[in-house]
Amino acid sequence: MGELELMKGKVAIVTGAGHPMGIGCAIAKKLASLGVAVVLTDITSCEASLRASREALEAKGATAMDLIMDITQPAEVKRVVTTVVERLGGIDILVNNAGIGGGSSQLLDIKPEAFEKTLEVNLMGTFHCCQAVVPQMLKAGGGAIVNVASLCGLGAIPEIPMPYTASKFAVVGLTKALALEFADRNIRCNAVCPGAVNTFMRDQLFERIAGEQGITVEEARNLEDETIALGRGGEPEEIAATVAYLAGAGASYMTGVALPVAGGMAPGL
Amino acid sequence: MFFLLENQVVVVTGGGSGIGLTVVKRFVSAGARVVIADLSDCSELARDLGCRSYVVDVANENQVSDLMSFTVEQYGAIDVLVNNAGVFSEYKKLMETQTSDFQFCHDVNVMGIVNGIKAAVPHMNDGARIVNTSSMAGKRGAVNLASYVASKHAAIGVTKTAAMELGDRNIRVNCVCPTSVNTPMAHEEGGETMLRYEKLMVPIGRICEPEEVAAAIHFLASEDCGFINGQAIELCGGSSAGTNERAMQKLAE
Repeated sequence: MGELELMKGKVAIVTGAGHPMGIGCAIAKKLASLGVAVVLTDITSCEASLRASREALEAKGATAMDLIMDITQPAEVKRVVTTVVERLGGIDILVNNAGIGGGSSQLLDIKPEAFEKTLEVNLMGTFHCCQAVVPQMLKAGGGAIVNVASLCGLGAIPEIPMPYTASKFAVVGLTKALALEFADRNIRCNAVCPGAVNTFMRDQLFERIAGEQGITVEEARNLEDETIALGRGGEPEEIAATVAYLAGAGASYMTGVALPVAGGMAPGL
Repeated sequence: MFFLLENQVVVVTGGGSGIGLTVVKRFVSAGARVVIADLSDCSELARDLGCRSYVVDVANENQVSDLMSFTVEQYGAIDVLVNNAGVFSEYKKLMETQTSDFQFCHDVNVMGIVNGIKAAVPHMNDGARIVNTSSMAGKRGAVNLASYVASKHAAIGVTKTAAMELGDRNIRVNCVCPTSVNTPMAHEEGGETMLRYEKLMVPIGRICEPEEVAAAIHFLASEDCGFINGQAIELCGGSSAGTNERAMQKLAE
């Protein structure tokens, strides 16, 4: 459709794109398929898989870059943004996808350092990227930011680490505040709130729950699937489609929205 | 593929004007086979667009049932139902409303959706999509519009419940919640204050265009967004997030 053609030639940064089966990589693929030049970023330990994903995109004719970026380091984020602007001419879309799980769900077991680390990545990392990219968007006359929050950013869910929930609520808050500040300068900022998505992070969750409750991983998965109206977890590609929609011109009246992509699951219902 | 609706059979109620007509045109260009369902005769429009049309009052359960049978006769299936037909209430204070005001909005804005879902679902394959038109008036109050507000809140409740109940057939049900949309309905007499207020208070600084609602409906009707279910999508220009500085300054003036 018309507005998707408008995606051609745009430049997007997708953070946390290192894991080949993760949401970030699926977002990069989706945007690339719409003609967006994509910059995949992640931390050093993902260097090899980042490069492989970039090469796979290039093999399909996409313009792509892979850059190591630790979003908790503002100076490093600024350097990467400068590099992208020099190489690709600007940044139209920022997808803040990088995030970590957050450790324990039990108040008395949470180490303050683990809580701080979760906030440092999920919240402050998102903030650093916004602060570095927004000036480029202002120069270009606009842009779109999509933050990958979580259904946990709208309500608490049993078994999900408290620091994670707190950090994602904060990301939703940041999303809304940023949306208001830049609404009349043509920068839109929205959040997607994925529910249960079939990634390694979900597998890790079930392994932990299975261990704690003496059930199998498959049983743990079924228990959660039953709480979803569609009776299944989502796929990374389904999150990616929503990110592409929110980043595109079709969503030109949407800003400051936190959109659940969860198949029909509390607290998104 | 993204957003393609090639050969998909779509019923759009209230498809003869406003948001509905914009949706119809968009779906036709995405390759869908569309039935324009409207209170008025849209046969000429349908001929021009290569669609079918059907005259229906969505508040009438039997007529809606006939609409779905007609669609299946014409096209063999129903893949997408857009319950878009709606009415607006007169502007009046809650203390001045009559039961009939609420009944008027309820019959079309709520029962129109219920009738549509009940009549269409038996004809739908697993994996079909239903998109309803609610409003930001379904998410918050609006002065002098109590009956409309109540009906649009109810539309969201019906949407969420249908999503939960139809999930086991993988039929997804969502709705869109626009602010005032630049259609004839928004420019009806008595709404001038409301329009001025919305232009002032919406952070983006303008009301919503029908194309922007149609794009959201299109996205929800597509197979690409297969994991969005039971949602009321806010097309609010930032207003659900709060008030921005420009609006506050203008208010202070």
